[in-house]
Amino acid sequence: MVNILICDDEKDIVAALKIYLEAEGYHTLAAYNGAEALELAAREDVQLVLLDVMMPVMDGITAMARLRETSNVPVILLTAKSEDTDKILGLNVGADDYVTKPFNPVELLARVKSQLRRYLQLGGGEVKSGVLQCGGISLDDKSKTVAVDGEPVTLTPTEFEILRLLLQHPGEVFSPAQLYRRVWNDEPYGAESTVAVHIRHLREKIEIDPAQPRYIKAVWGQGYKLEGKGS
Amino acid sequence: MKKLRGSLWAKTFAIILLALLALTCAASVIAAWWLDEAGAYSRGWDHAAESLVRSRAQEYAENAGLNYLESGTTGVYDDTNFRYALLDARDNTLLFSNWQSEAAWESSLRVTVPHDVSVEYGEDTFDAGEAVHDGPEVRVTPTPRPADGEKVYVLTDFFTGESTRFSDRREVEDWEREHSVLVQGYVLKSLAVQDDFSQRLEALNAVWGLRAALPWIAAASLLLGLLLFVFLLSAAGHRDETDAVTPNVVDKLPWDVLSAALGFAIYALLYAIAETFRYNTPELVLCGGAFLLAGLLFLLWCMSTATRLKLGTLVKGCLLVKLLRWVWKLVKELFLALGKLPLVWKWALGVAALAFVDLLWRMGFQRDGDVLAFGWLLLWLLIGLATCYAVLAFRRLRKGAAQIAAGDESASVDTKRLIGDFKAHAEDLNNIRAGLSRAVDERMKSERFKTELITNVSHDIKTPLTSIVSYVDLLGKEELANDKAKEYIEVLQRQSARLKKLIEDLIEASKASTGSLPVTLTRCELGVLLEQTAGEYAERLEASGLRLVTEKPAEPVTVMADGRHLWRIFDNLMSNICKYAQSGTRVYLSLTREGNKAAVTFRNISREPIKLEGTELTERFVRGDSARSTEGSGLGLAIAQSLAQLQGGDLAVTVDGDLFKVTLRFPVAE
Repeated sequence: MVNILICDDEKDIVAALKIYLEAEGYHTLAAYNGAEALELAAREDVQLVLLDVMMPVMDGITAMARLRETSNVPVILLTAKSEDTDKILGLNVGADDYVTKPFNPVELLARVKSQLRRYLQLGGGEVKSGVLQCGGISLDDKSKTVAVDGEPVTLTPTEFEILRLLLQHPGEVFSPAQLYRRVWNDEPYGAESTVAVHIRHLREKIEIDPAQPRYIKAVWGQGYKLEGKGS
Repeated sequence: MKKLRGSLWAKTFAIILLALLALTCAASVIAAWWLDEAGAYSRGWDHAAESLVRSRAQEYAENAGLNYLESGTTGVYDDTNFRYALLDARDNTLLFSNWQSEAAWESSLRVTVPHDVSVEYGEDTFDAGEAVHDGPEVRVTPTPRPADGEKVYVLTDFFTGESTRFSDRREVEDWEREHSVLVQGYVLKSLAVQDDFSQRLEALNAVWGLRAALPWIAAASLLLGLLLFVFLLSAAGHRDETDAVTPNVVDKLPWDVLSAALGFAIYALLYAIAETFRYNTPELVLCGGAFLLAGLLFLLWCMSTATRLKLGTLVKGCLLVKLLRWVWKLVKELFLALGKLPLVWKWALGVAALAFVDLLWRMGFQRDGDVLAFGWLLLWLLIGLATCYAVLAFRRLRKGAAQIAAGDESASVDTKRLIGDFKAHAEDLNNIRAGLSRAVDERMKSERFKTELITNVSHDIKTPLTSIVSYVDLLGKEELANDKAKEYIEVLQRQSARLKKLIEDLIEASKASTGSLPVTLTRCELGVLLEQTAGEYAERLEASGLRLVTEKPAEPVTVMADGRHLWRIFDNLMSNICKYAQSGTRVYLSLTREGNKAAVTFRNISREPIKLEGTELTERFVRGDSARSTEGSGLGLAIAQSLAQLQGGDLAVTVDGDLFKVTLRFPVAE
């Protein structure tokens, strides 16, 4: 039984979230401020926390910092503060994901599932040799398979090559010309559109929300990079 | 000792004792000196007596001689112990004698008729001659003048008043011898009569016994006197009643006035003493009294000074000091008044004063070249110093003003050592700076407030919106048999989505226009961005039935921009195109270089006619679709323009019939 802790000072939002999650078969616990959330997390066995940032008594960031002292449970921050600085702050303090309000319920559920999968199935973190991992993506070069959050994904050879190149150099920016040379082994004449199309396809397959990619990020005017904790 | 200090009796007693000691000391000193002069210490009684007598005898002899020469009188000093003999100066013939060879002290003297000899040379005669009145006429008999080079001796007899002229020095000497007499004086040693001589010898006898002790007496009385003097000084100002020092009437006078008066008095007394001092009893007593008086005045002055020193009123009480202070105050007030004059007047006054001083120097010291030069140097030195000071002060002001102009809020002009108008100017500059920094702080506060408003309001709006969106979505998932309900739910879903977009756009627009978006400029290759955009929008364009044509130059075109914001602009524009372009047409996305600017142009054919100007379209909430029937907030172009301006570029919209053209321009980065 998967327990999810929902914490928000708006009772209506908590109620709505309860309905969504219980419809998916999860069991939910509710808290209305940071202190309550910590209390419940300590008492009960939870596998995921949905945490609002702006709350009375104790806000989400503080609560999460406290939580992170003792637990590794995945936390998704849920908030109306959509500034980049707020997102970066939240992720730096230890959140695993960040969803802005108003949210798309489908997207939210997908993220919940992804986090749960990672936590429950991939928590062991066994790294086989020849396997490139970054965040939820694992690429096995020997068997030429790719899995995202445990779920296998089918990629074309080109897409596979691109992903592997990016995984081998996490955080490094590749211009379309460079990508073309490395992957197609050819001079990049008229290459950018081809590269862009392939990147888009790749995103659609591995990202939860291709419009807001978590892994393959575009550095506008320069190229693309893979973001996330590599190994 | 303390008790004694205050006692008036003790002080009086001390003064009297001091007076006596002073007299003793003076007397013994004078006596000793007198004796020493007479040779008493070195040669003995006889010699002393003789010298004492002789000096007086010489006077008598001279008197006797003069008497005889003037009027032939003899027998002077018959009632004294003085005898004399008169002899002719030329051949020593005895003219008169009243000495009968008694035992006497002798002295001889030649006495001549008092006269004057002056020498005339040819050119040196100033005397025009004798004027003789002859009736109404005046005849001048010219004095016989000596010929040039001739020396003439003019001898004037004081007894007769006549002048005789001699041409030879020997003739002058002859005349002198003629009019002289040799006087041999004898003072009888028996001293039968009481006269000057006997008095002198009596005095000598009186003092002779003490002669050895005199110095000691003098020293002892001096020492005791000093002690008493010290005591009196320390007692000065003390009274019986209190322990504190109290001034009396004399002490309250101004010190300089007191000193001047007493000093003058003492000087006058001493002068009188010096003039009238004789070894005669009446004169001695007078001198002694005067000396005592002088001494008392001096003591008074010392005691008063001591009291004042103890009270600390020495300088304060001085009239001169008071005067100087008053003058100083006057001068200060004058300068203060002058300082209030307008600046130009002050400068004019200063120049006039210097010119006047210069004029005075020149006029007054025409003759003396050195002083003139000195004055000139001094004048120029003054001018130099004054202008130097003015220049330095101005430089400091300049520096301060430049710092303020550059926006340095912490700089402040140091007002040390600035005077008058310079100081006022510096203070004004500082006030400006303070006012500026206040204004800047206010501005920053209002900016912060605006940003906070945006973030807080956005949060407050989004929270209920989230509930609306969620519940409408849940409603949508419910199985409803009522078709109308389903329809209404659809409307709700659409509108809440629109509301969400509107709020997000509004916040974005506010942030972009207040400049509170963080902008990090990096090198962006526009060509790469173009292709990335093309890639991202390929499907959507296809879905709208549009074909994208990209044009770009062969070499890369780089600008300094924020990649995320650039993408947002491109995203906005492309999304507009997807929404409003006519299906089945081509869309042109081109990159060109115009001199030192890079231009990205988005061209498309609009589905609906646009009745507005390009400039109007970029305003907020202005929608091309006047019916407002499609989704859109009217903020997209406004946001895009603000973002472009934030990065140092600009966005322009041109409408030509159905052609909708948006041009982005950025300066090229080398």
